[in-house]
Amino acid sequence: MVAFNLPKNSKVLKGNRFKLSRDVPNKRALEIYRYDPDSSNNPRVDYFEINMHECGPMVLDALIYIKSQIDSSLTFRRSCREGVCGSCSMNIDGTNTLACIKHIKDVKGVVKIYPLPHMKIIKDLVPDLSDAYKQYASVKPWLQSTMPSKSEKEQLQSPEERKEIDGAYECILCFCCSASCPSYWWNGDKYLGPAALLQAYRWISDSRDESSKSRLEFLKDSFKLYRCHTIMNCTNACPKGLNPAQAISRIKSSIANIE
Amino acid sequence: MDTIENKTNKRPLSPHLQIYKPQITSILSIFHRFTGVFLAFGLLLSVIFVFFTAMGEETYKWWNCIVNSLVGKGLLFLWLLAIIFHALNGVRYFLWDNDIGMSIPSVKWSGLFVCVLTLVLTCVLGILIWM
Repeated sequence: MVAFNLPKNSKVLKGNRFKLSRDVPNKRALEIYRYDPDSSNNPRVDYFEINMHECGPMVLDALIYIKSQIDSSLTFRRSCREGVCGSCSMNIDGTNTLACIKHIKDVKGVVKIYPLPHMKIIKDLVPDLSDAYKQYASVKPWLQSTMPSKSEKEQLQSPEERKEIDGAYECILCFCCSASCPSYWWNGDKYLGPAALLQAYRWISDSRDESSKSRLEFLKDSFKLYRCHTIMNCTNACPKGLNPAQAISRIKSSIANIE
Repeated sequence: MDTIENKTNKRPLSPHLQIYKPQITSILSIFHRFTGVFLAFGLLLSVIFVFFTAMGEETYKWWNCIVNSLVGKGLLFLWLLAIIFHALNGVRYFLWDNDIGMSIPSVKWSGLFVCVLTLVLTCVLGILIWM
């Protein structure tokens, strides 16, 4: 449902300030969203100043630096630190991206860091992605084929057929796209969102998959698919440069063409 | 002590509109919807205009007076802006539905193009109509 304001328990308050002395020459300031599930307090925004001589160039480096040097309770997801795992997706400087591939120097002024928008927050920058994962599972993201049982040979794909899934299989499921979509914010319980739909498209366009028709039938729903109004925030946000909006548009025209 | 269920229900919602930087993509999308709603009201008024004209000279003159007032002209100018933007931007949706111009550079370029063309056409038509 559309609710422009945050619920009472989600209003963000002012938090702690960790300042450096004035004579540190190369410092940057960060504002980070904090929420402690063990207290009954509302979320808050903490202010940190860090010495860039002691910290790496990426936003993730800054988060790790703060956790090890200033406030060890700061909580966030991270793993690969090179943009292939999708764990450290968050809202940096007003747009969703991966902290590990976002340069601090590309942000002007205070670096503002929030969790992925319109998500239930477990702690600090860690959102609850269970619903998004359930939606991903609902598109049956695996190869559906009866062929192997019939024939002894492996299923071949021509280079052209293989090309069809370029731009779709590279998705790392960081959910930057879904969490950037206003339509997903308001109808995230029923609309599948760009991430899940891009994966649906990945299997629909795979020449080896034999269930494209039932996949399209499943998606043909005014909420699951057609809450997409081609806003294109998803494509604008994708840290891997993929185009979920185009995939959704192609799903829509495939459905129109089978009728 | 908090139970796990209790904690899960207590989870706050992360900020969304409050913190997301305005994107040309979402701004033009919401503007498309606003102008659509605005035009629907305009359609209602143009029906009233037809109705008043059919009622006879008196009501027609009275309606004409309203339309030619400053407020009336201002509103008509806004409707002109709305219909031109809505029509031009609608072409983008038509192209996108046919898988044309969906890369981010194209989307930004066509968005900007629509905005500029809307302003130019609105001014030109506005001058032609009211000058």
